[in-house]
Amino acid sequence: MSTSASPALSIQDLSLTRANAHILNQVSLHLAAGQIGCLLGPSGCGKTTLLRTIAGFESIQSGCIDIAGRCVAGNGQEQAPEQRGIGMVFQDYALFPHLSVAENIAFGLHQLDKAEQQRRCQEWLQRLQLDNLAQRYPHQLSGGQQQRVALARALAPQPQLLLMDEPFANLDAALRESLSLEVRDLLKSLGASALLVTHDPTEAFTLADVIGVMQQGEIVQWDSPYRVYHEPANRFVASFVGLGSFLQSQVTSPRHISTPLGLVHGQCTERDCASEVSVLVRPDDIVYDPLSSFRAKVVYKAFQGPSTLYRLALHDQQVVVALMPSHIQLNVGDETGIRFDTGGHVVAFA
Amino acid sequence: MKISAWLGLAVSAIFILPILMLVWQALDFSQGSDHWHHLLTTWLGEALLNTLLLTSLTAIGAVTLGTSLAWLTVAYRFPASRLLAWLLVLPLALPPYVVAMLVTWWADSSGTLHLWLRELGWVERWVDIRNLPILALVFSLLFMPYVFLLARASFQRQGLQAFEAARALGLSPYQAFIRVVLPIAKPSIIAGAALVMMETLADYGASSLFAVPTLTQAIYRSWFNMGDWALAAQLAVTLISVIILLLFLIQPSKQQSLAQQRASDMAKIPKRLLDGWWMSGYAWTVFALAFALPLTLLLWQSLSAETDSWNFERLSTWFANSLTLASATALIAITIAAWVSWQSYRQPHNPAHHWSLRLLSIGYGIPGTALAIAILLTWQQLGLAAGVAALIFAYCVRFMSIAVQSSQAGLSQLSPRLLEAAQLHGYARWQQHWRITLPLLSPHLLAGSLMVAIEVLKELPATLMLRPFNFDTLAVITYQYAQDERIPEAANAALLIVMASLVGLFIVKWLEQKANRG
Repeated sequence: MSTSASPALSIQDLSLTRANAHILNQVSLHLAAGQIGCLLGPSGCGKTTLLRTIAGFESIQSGCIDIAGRCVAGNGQEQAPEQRGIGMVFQDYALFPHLSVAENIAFGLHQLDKAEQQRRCQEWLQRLQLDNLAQRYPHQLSGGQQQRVALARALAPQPQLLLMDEPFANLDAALRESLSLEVRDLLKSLGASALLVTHDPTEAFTLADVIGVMQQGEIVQWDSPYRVYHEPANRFVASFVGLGSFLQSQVTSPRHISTPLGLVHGQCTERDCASEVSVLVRPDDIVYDPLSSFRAKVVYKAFQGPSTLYRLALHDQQVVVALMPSHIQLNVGDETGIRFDTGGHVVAFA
Repeated sequence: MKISAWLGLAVSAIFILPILMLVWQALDFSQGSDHWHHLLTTWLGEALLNTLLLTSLTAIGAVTLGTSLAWLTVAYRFPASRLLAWLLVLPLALPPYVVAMLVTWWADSSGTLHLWLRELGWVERWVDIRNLPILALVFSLLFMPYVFLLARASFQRQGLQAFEAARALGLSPYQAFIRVVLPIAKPSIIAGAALVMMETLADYGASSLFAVPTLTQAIYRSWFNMGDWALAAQLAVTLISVIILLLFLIQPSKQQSLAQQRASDMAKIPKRLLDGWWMSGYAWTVFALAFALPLTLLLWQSLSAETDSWNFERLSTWFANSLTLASATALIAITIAAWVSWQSYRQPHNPAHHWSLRLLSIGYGIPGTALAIAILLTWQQLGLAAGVAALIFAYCVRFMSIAVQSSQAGLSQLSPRLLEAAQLHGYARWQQHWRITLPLLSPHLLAGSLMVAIEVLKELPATLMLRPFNFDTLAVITYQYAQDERIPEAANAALLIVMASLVGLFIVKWLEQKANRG
């Protein structure tokens, strides 16, 4: 809920080594005020550790962390977690089992007088539709309700930055989607800055303004969801954030690549490329075009409701994955025409 | 290493010092070889054989009863099945020597049962029931709850999925139980069996009243009757070795316990209405034999005792002695256990705390007779006279593992995230403990202290051997009256033990329900 112009969170060259292993390696990121950032990566990539260093539960070895323009860790100094002006939603919510919903929410308001505590608590109960659950205990709540309480408890003291550790991991898929949209709306309406951690790309796409993809203790890409999906920085990011196929292609000129689906504008994404490259093709890059001269044969089909996922064999036996509207009804064995719609960005790896 | 780690190790070192002293004394072969020879040629062989036979029979009996009843109360619904699941724990409140006293008196050749049966014309000649199989039956009934509780928890954790998968693959309910449910619960059942065997091996009073010679009696006799310390120490070490060997033999492999953990997050088994009276009849019969009948006999005998003010005064003195010992031990044990557990919780990777906890828990496997010898020897070496301090120390060593388990059970539910959340909201360390740690931990600590206190109330052999002159407790008095066949007087004292234990058990149950809501 910072109103200052300085970034909500700024991290410079943060490193953490434990037992000779790099847990975090030269991590840098900047999160503008009012933005929702997301650390995305497989388990063990260091994303939760990074979140805990920001909270102050883990010490850093080098680098520095600024929250809302204030240095909270770095230059040999570290502020205690409670001095950093942060709120946190833990993965298992960490609700106090012996306190009621209202007492949980009021827990962080102890500096205020009783009347103000009550007023603030009531406000948050209403905001998260918990009014009629105020006197219940955590074990009497559903997973979704517990999540709301955890969110209310973290936000009630008006932190400058909200941290969330896998906030939706314990919920079932349907609830996860509706709640994550709700949380995004809530944070946006408050103008709150938040950083969350997840291993689920869909969740990151739904919630985040900016995504940091992490691999082995490094942020390999810090970018908008669209660019993380369509212009991944390396093969790891490409395959981690969504379906796709790599097409064997040839670099024909500094600005052109020849793919089995035609000549495209673009160059190799990595520095040292030979003439042989792999071009990333997302399922939505393939467009159904019966008149196209590029022919492909359906080898696999999975109906998904609004769309159908196909696996198509090209003339040189390379296979691409394609997502098409479900009205286009092709069967396994059918031959059809397709087009490669790059959307203006071609990604090619060595 | 921090001071707390050294302190924890020092405390646990004090706890195992008597056992080391015992082993050292036992190795001193220069004394007592005559007695060894004498014992070997008379009844040591028999005592050893009896001990092994009694332990195996009891383990088989308790596992059969406990496992079958656990499955019955988890998987089937029959009248009062929930109540029964709780009632079947109650035999834990009955000290074995009390039941042994009642059984030998009631079913003896001159006892009431015999008279009834003879009047009915059902028996001509009475067989002596003071024998090993009947004693094993008594132990099986009394120690069955250890297996029952652990097996039941395991059945509830594994839920119905594996059972139903087996049924879907064409197995009958019985086959599915044998081939799937039982193997998954095996580590728990084995752990229960280990507890049963340790209790059996530790018994002194019941086997003595049954006149079945066992190792514990050999220890007591060589110390009390022969005054041969070295021999007593050697026998005590023999007994402890038997226990270590047993625990080693039945130690479940890591793989098995992993399998159990993986199946742990399943729903409870929906119960079915039990068609057929025999299963509920079976469960109620076990309850009647293991608890209702002994308690009835006890009440009957207690009511038939003469009650004058002099008796009452003496009873209240013994009761006060027992309660003082129980509460002092409970307080000391839970304080040490909670402190060391907390250190280990704070620094889970520090091996010092891990070892402190393990060493503190060793005493549970040391029978009271062996422990008493060990402490007497230690006190002798230190030039002290055994007294109340030695007795409380013995109780602490013996029952510390109960306090440790309760503390750890409480701490395992205290997620470090809870304290972090409190810290984030600006609470100082002492405030975190006051608002979070203490409220969440106190039901467990209280339950732990109560369980320690119950065990102290019931404990016989160590009390018998270590109590100061003219200082008697309910347990000692019960046993001594029982030996003199003054059953009504013994029943008075025993009833106080049982009632106090039952009240304790009820509170523990209530606390558990309270603690489990989190």
